[in-house]
Amino acid sequence: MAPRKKKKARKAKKSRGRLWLRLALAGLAGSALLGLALLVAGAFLWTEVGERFSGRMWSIPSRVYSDTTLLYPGQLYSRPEVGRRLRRLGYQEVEAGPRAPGQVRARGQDLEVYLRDLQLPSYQREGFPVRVSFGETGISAIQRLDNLQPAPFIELEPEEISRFFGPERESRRLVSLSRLPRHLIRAVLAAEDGDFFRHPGIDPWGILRAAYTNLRQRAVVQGGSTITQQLAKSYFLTPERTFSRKLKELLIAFVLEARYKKETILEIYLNEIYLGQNGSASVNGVGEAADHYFGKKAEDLSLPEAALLAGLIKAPNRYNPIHYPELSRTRRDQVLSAMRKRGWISQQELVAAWRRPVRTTSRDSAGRSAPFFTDYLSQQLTALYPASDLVKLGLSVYTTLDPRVQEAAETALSHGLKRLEEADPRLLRPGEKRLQGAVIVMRPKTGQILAMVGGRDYGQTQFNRAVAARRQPGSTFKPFVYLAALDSFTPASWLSNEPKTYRVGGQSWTPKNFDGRAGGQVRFRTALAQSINLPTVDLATRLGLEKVVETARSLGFTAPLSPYPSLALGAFEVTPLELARAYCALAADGVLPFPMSLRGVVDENGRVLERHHVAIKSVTTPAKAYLMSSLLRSVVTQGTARSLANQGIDFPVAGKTGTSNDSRDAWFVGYTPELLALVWVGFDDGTSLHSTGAGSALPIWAELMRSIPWQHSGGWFTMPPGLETREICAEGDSGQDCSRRINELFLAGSQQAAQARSQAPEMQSGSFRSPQPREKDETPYGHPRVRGSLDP
Amino acid sequence: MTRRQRPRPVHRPAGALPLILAALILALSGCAGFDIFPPVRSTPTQRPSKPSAKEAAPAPSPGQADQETARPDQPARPPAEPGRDVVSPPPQAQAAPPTPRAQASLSLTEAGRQALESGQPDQAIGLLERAAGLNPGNGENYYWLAEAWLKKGNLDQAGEYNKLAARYLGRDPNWSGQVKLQAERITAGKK
Repeated sequence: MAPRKKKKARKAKKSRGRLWLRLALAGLAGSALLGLALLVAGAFLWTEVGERFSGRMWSIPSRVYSDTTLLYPGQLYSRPEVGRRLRRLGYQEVEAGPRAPGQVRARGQDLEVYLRDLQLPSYQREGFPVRVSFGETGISAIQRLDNLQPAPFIELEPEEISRFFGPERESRRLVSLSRLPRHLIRAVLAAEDGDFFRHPGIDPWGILRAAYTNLRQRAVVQGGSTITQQLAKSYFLTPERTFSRKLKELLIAFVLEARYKKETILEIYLNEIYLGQNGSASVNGVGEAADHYFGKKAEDLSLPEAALLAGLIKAPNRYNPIHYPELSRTRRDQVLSAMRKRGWISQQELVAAWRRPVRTTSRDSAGRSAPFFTDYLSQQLTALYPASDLVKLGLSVYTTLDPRVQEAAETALSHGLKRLEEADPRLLRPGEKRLQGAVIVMRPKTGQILAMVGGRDYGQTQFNRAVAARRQPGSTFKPFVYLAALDSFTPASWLSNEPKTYRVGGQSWTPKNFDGRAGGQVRFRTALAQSINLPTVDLATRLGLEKVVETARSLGFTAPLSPYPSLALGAFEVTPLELARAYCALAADGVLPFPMSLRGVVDENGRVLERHHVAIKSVTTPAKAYLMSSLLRSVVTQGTARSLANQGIDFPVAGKTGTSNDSRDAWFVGYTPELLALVWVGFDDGTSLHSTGAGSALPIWAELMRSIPWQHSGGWFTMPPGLETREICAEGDSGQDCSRRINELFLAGSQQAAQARSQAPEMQSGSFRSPQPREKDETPYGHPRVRGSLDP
Repeated sequence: MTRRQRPRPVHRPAGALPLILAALILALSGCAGFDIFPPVRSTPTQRPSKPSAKEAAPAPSPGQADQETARPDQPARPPAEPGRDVVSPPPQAQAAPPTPRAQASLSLTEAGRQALESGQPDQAIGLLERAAGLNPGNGENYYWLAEAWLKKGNLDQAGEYNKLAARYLGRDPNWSGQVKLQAERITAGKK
């Protein structure tokens, strides 16, 4: 009996054993299959993850910067103005110090600033602390605080004016782990994944700990996701909360851990995370966040600032320090406590950090992005870089723009156009047909464009009138006729103001003066100062229209120019930029500059890719240019632009008003040795303005110049060799009975020409007329008031 | 979590040797009377140093009533208005000290010149262009710009800037010679 039982028992044991064996085998096979499946999936994901997370994974938008701001003692820059500039550059106001770059402290009448480093295409300079003292007329002194030496000038770094975004509109400044401060890294770990360096991708203890903390606090305070998991989540474009997604994320997390070192994963994470909104663009990565919230580089973040940013990761909009400083502070303090718990900061550091208030920097950008200038700049850029590169490569583009002058130009234009519409309701038109204008401000010597306004409202029409509108220059072309004539005429030469009909190629044309009056003759200088038409045409035809065309061409006018007499009155088309550039030659010793908006391009590693320099070409002599400036100065002191004196312009200016045919265009171009500005007013469809250059454009120019007083030196050109001053008779007859003599400027050696021309010229029609007796209403400077004056 | 111990950097007191050497050099240079520190103001080679700002400019020659005889980097007073009555002969032009703006411009010029001497013409041009924008009457600036473009091998631009230098410095006895020599170098280069 017993043996059978034993056999049964043994058989049962065996079968049980076999069952276990089978189960074990099944389990092994199953896990092997699972393992294989995971390996295959992992292998597949390996390359995917590699593509996604290695190399250039981000589009870093390229940034466009203005020019630097020069400050020097004696400059008419007020303290509020400088303070505002610094705020716009993101300088943080501090109570003590300043100790680090990017800080400014107000001290009585002074500002103590720690300048940031300068990184320009042409040169670099390290930052240093300075004290800027202000007096009644602006900056009184600048002193370096590191060596206590007076500084002859300082340069504030360029201002960012716009960015080239890709379609995802992410804003990012790349950081590398090795350059980040340790407390920033530890703050992020403490906030999100304290055991990051120890776990293999997921952290079961972390999950348990989080669950425990959440239970205790009865709120979701901690997430269980590791940094690797969060990064895996960012692999997908859209968030999902399904089980399969969770599984995929887990797998990706493992692959990440297998493929990359911990440090690499952390670095990618620190550059990837979403940390808030900046208008329509998102703030991604700690580098961008440090700049956006604190105006600093990530390397310069303090402990409390680092903790604040780390705390943002969880809910960037809820803990936004700009909008919710209290919530932000609470969260920051939580992170600090977590750091303390792990022993990463001392008790003293904790307490000191707790005490610091939440201080962000708010950049007062106020929409000053100079859109027309940026468009013009883009044209220059896309010749060098395709648009796809600009939105991706994180280039830094340095320009010539002066944001303060740009703002002044936009404001002056806006005010001026509104004033014109209010004064004359005929000018008030709806929507796209509105009165328009354009402003260009340049440095005549270098061609650098400081400001460009291409229209009244970029949002409404992006048409950049400053560079693309083809309009008639009218009287603003006249100076170039007079310039062309300087070889054979002098400012004392007599020109005919008699009505005359010109016949060219079977057509006849009878020009008229603006006020319809005519008669007698006028001097060269007076004719230009008062912008009288008839003498100008007389001059052009006596000179030879081919010479006028030749001069115009040499000054960069590209329009077709036919040698008709009406050319002298500007009856052809130019762009405002062309016209401004031509005037630069007069203001710059006869040297025509190339218009310059781009200074250089630097890649994200600081390597200089492009460096642009000023390009000049002499087109006339310094003596002639000086003589022209003298003539154009008379326009302002005695001529059609003399109302400038009543508009707050108390420094010497040369300029020319311009009104084209039927008052379709109103111009004023005015310059000093350092600055040239052009204003154009008109309707896009060519409707008449019923106004003149002096009436419409000049006041805008005046308002612009008044609002940038530090730009004006108040000086004038020095006289170059090749000129001489002589006395001439005010009445014109060189003779003993000349009662009044005046000074006049001549090109050296033009005495013979002057004597020859001082007689009244012969006329083709009509008889010789002796000069008119002096009128009662003569100008204060002895110029007889001539008939037919005032074509403004 | 264990704190990883990092080795603290070891501070060694600065040796006395460098200090002694420095003192020796200074003493020797003082005794020998030569400057180991070059002068700050820019001076082209082989010519006397520039007059200081406070020295009076040469008196204007008669008959050139409106000529500005002050140094080119000072702002000119606007000449008598053409068309104005000749009331009395204008006063002698005084040598005014350079304005703050002109001084700032000259500092930039100096920085540019130094960049040029240390073999960085692009950097120099960037600084000198800025100086020109600030004070276009600064003639020295154009001289150095011409030098920088010569170094870069662009004789066209060098020639243009040399012409500008001549226009502003042509009457300055300290500079006109150098400007002419520069012009000759440019013409020679063009051949």
